[in-house]
Amino acid sequence: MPRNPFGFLLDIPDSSAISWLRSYLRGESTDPKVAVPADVDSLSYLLGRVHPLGDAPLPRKVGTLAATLLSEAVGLGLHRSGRREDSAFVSDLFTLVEALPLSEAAAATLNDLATAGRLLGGDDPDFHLHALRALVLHQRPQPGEIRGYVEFWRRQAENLRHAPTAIQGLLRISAPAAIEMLPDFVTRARTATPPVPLINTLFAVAAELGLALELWKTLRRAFNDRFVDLEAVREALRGLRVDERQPEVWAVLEAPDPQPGSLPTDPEPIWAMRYESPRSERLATARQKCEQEQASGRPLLAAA
Amino acid sequence: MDLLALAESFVGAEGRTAALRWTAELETSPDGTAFVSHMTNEQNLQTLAEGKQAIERLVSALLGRSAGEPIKWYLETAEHQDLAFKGRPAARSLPDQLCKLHRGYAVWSRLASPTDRPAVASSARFVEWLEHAVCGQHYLAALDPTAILRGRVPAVFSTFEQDRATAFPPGTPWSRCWQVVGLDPPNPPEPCVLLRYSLAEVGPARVPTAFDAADNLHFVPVLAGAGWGMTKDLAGGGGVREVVVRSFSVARLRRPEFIGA
Repeated sequence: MPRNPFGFLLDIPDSSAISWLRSYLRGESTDPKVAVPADVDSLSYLLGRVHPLGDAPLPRKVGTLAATLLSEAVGLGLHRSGRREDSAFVSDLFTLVEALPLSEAAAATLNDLATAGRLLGGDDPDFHLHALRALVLHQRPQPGEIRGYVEFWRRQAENLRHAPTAIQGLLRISAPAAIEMLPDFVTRARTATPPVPLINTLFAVAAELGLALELWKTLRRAFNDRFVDLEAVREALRGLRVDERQPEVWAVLEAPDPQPGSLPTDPEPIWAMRYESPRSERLATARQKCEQEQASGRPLLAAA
Repeated sequence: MDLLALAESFVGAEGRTAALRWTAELETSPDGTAFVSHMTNEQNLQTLAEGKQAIERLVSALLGRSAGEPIKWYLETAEHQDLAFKGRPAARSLPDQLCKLHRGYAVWSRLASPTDRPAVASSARFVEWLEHAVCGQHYLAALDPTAILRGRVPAVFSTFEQDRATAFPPGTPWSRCWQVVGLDPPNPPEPCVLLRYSLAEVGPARVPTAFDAADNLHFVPVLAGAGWGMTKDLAGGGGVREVVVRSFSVARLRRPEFIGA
């Protein structure tokens, strides 16, 4: 298999790699190293070549480089320069950070950026949205911090434009908390002018809940006595062919209004039920260890 | 087309010198030789009033160009000086239904709704989103209807769906689909979608020129007077007919088709 066209980034010093990535995204490179095919833009080409590699060294390297460039760009105020090319550059950096794995340090910086995004963004309505989107996969709540994160996302969801991202963010740390917010979001989205589409948000819900039927039952219960909203949810999920692909889930959604359930609504004990990323698995392990330590009376983890 | 001679005829020796400097830089830059070759083989632009005017605008811009980055300079100039989409109008008898193979990550990063595009938590989930949301019955709700579908220069190379039916019918292996439309299959494989649209909705269409193709390595120069272009089939077959259309909004798309990888 030919070497990845961006593989050289692993072999050169960070300072050179940062400089190269900046030039590449801005279309300024005098030493291209990578020939971007004529049918695609440089950002999409880069994503297509490194994202399929998952949490491997190259995507992590590119994601971390992008996070460094993003910090630099925000520090320089490029997002507020008023120049179209600066705004596009910052947006591309956010997209890379949103999609790629990051080093621990870069993820921590991103957490700070997202929590301060509304202040840093100034008049730019997209800046905070970019920062929230990037936080979805990179949020790193430690045991004991989940409630704080849940509250953070709940506050973001008050703005309808940020609500879909907030639901995605919640789904990663506490599916029940996300489900709890869903009916209100659906009502607001459906009655907004123009209506806010539900497809992508419900795609994220379906993907995160998977075949966890208890969570689906909780979702179904959340829509008790909200027939119009429930029908909108069903319609979107039918559009995603959930009825054909996951008949057992569909059966739950089609059931008549069930009785209130007993699934705990406190996010802490169930926040890391089933996540795909190794990071979440690590955090789940840390949580488990913490609980064992609590039970045995030995010292707790520092972060708890 | 003889750019140097045309530059001289438009603005004299100064124009010829500026054009010579630019083409010399192109010839020494990666992929720039393809652009020079396309211009040399271009047979339609200078026969049309609009094409001639576009060449004239290019020459005027060349007079003020600073040395370096010849392709980037062209791509920016093409946008500001409206150089693309200047070929002859496509033949009227051509079919109405068009399509374009589009990379999955370009859909996600450029065409998806910015407020709710799903986080790409894994490749599998990404493919699922393309297949069931972007190519599902509510595709316009998964995308940003105001997003603009554009090509590398502001013109979109489009293939006729009628030709697709014979050259890469549904079920054709993904790598073959790429090759038929003149694109190198990506490595590692990348899922893609077939964006579909109607000429009546996004039109008019024009015959592609060297200015539309820029540094596209696989562009096939169009014969003088031809009513459409032909893709170079990288697998060695006959290729498909193609035209260029102006950039257009996603709201005009019909339901896309998932091609996969």
